[in-house]
Amino acid sequence: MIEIEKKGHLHPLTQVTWEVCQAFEELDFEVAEGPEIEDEFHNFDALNVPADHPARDMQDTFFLKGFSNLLRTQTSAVQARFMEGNKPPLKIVVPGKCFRQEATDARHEAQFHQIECLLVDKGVTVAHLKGYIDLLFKKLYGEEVSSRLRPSFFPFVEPGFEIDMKCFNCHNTGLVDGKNCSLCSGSGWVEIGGAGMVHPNVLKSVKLDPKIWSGFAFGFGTERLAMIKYGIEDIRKMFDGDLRLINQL
Amino acid sequence: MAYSYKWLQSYFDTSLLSVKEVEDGIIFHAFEVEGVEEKNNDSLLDIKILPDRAHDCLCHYGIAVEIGAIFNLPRRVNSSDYREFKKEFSNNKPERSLSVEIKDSELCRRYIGRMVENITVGESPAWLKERLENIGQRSINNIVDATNYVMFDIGQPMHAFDADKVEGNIVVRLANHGEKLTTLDGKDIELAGNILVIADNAGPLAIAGIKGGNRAEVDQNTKNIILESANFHPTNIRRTSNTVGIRTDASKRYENELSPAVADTAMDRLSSLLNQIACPPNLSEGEIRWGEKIDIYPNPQSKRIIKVSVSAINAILGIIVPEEEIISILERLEIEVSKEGDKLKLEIPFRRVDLEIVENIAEEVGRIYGYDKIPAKLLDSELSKEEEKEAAKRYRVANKIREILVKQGFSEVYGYAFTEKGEIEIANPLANNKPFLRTNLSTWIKEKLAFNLQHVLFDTEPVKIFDIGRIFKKDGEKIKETTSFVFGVARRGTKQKIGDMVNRELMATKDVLCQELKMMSCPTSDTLVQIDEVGNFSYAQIETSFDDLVSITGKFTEPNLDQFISLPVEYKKVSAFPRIIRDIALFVSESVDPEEVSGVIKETAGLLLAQDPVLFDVFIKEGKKSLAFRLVFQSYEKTLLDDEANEIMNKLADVVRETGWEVR
Repeated sequence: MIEIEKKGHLHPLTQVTWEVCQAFEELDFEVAEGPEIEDEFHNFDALNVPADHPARDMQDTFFLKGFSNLLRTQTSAVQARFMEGNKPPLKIVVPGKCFRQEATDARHEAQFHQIECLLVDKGVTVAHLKGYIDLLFKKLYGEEVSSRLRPSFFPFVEPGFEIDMKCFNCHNTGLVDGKNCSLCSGSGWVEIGGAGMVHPNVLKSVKLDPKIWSGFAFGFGTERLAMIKYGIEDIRKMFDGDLRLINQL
Repeated sequence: MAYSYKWLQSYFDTSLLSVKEVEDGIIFHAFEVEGVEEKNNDSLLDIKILPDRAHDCLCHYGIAVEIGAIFNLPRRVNSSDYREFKKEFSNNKPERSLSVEIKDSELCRRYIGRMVENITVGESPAWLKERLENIGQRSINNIVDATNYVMFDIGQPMHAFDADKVEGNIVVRLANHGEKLTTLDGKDIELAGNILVIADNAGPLAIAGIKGGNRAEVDQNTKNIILESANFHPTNIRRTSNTVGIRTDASKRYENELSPAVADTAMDRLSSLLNQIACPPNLSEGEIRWGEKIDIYPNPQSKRIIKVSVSAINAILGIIVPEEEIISILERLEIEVSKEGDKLKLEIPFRRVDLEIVENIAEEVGRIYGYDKIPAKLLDSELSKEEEKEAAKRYRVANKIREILVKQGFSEVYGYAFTEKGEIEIANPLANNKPFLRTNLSTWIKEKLAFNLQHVLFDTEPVKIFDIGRIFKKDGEKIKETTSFVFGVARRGTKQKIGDMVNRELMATKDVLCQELKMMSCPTSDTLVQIDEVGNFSYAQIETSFDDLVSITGKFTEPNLDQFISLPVEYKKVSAFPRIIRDIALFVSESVDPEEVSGVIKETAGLLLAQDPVLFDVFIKEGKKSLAFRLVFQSYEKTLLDDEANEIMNKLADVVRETGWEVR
């Protein structure tokens, strides 16, 4: 009888996080983190989302009984925390778990992960944001991959963007074996994250002068990256602890 | 919101580009288009408007401005749906007069009322019905349809009361305690003291900005109406909407803050439309009698002025957009531009409540100009490499633990933060019986050890898993969030039989961890370990504080997880149906590679083979090699029958023989 040597496997989210953070670390970004239970200030107010503003509805929030805290809805909460304690220029990458109070289905989970980066320095422009996004994608998905920006809105950035990546599955043609590409639904592009130039109000909230400092931030849904990479069709499979999935990857 | 291509076209005298081109223009220069639907000879664009533009773009006019700016197309001031209306009101004065009073000018910033007599309630004309129905609105009657049309056209919610059901004058005030109102759709609402209402002498007629009451409802017999075009404080609308549990197209617009300036334009549009579609059918019944606009506007909004230099805009974008181009783009967006020294003086249209600072202007220029025209650049940052910060170290330690454990045959699982029991409770949990945050990881890991043990292929096969994650407890009156780390081993069998073995495996792993993390001392086992048997399996696990672990690690070698990163393969879905396990043993000549045999088995067994054959026994006897494989059969569609597995096994035996091998 052979002793069957079962190999151990990393969770797909760890794999993706490692790859992204490695790429950022090569670009001199340092890993930062923050608490999963946040206060309203860091999760909302410092990020230019005032109380009673409809922008708060963009993220359905879990609140705690008997405490004024909440479960953070975005890793961007770490932006303000880090800038409070560290002087620019700064470059950080923040992987972490977030929560949204929304009905779950194959594409939505009450808990999920994000990876985002923040760069604050003098004279940072949209052109630099584009430069870093491209560089990261090339490191992750190969030289042929590039990205494009579309207008969008996140309260803590201005201008704000959606990031699309050239679909590597169909090589931007929209077709695989004559059929619509399953990854990009035939568009040739994959929606992959959000980005923007740090809003002056965010800099002010951490006592930085927006006349001197500027910066950009961009981030991705970690599950989305993993689901794209491995063709996983249901986000809930990430958290059911089933080795029949994990040990395939 | 759904936008009609035909409706948008009514803003342009020249034909618009194709639907596809318009869609792409909007996507790359303004908003996400979530879909396009063909309906009644029209195309409906489902455009996602985010809170920054809900002020001005939850209506066709807003999108028409965008299209005009994006494609540099000349645009009409208003939709060609309206017929010009310049009636001298004095000729046809209504018999009743109207007075309006605003009690709280902070909550109600503007109220325009107009008495209109001798209208005819009836069906809307076909074009109007079609406009509304195409964007998913039910046609009710010409009066209500006209108010809805104006809202979807220029974004201003409108209301019409039956004037004969209104007693006395219109007052905008806070509700009195105990007042009640029945909404147009028959819901009884108890009004609290902080709810703003539109009232007459007899009491509330409507919840301001949210929903009309049924007392002054326009119906088939209505002859005289009072039109309302008002502006309410966004926060108060939002709170009231939450309090009474009613969200409407009107409240959604008000809570995003509308410009009070739009109210007047909207009243003119509504009047022109009603004059077109609600006139008495023949002359003998007289004409519509139009009252003056009663406009209460205590603090008129003044236009916002932003002074900005071309270089400031370009410094944000990182590109040189020429001054003429910037001016052209801004003017296309209805911003009035004049030069003042080396700066541009921008007069912002009222409806663009969102434009306040230079960054907003840079975004307008950048998106219309085209983000694709901005080059990608890198920055020469001069970062002083300081000492490693705590978070970076924690990340490194976590990855080192992962590296060590995966090498030891452990797989990583990610658990849920939510549990049935705990110390920190969620105020608004999802309805899944998990209203608490977890206080440990081991409860869940134990379940998952048992779960995964059901799927092992051999009775002697262990399950080894680990998780690193946050746990949440109460520390007096405070929340204590810490990071926990757990790893566990489970095998089939009783504690008496294999408990020691499982425990030894776990302890061995712990020792490797301590060694590899270069810890000064290894925490003693008995305080950490849980060992037990459940049903037919035994398990051992250790849960410990990751935070403490980080502080006692020494100088370990850098973690490298590259070796465990899987290629972007399509994973094989897990079937929900039971599996059938079969073994096949065969003799082959010594030179035959087991891989070759495995390949033949895979090819023969076909799609029902759920995973690669597992070689579990090899020996050589009298110049022949014996190989034993375990096979798993499973269907995605149904529970497999023994017969079906047998059939495959028989076929397999035939193929093995044909290949010149021998089934044992």
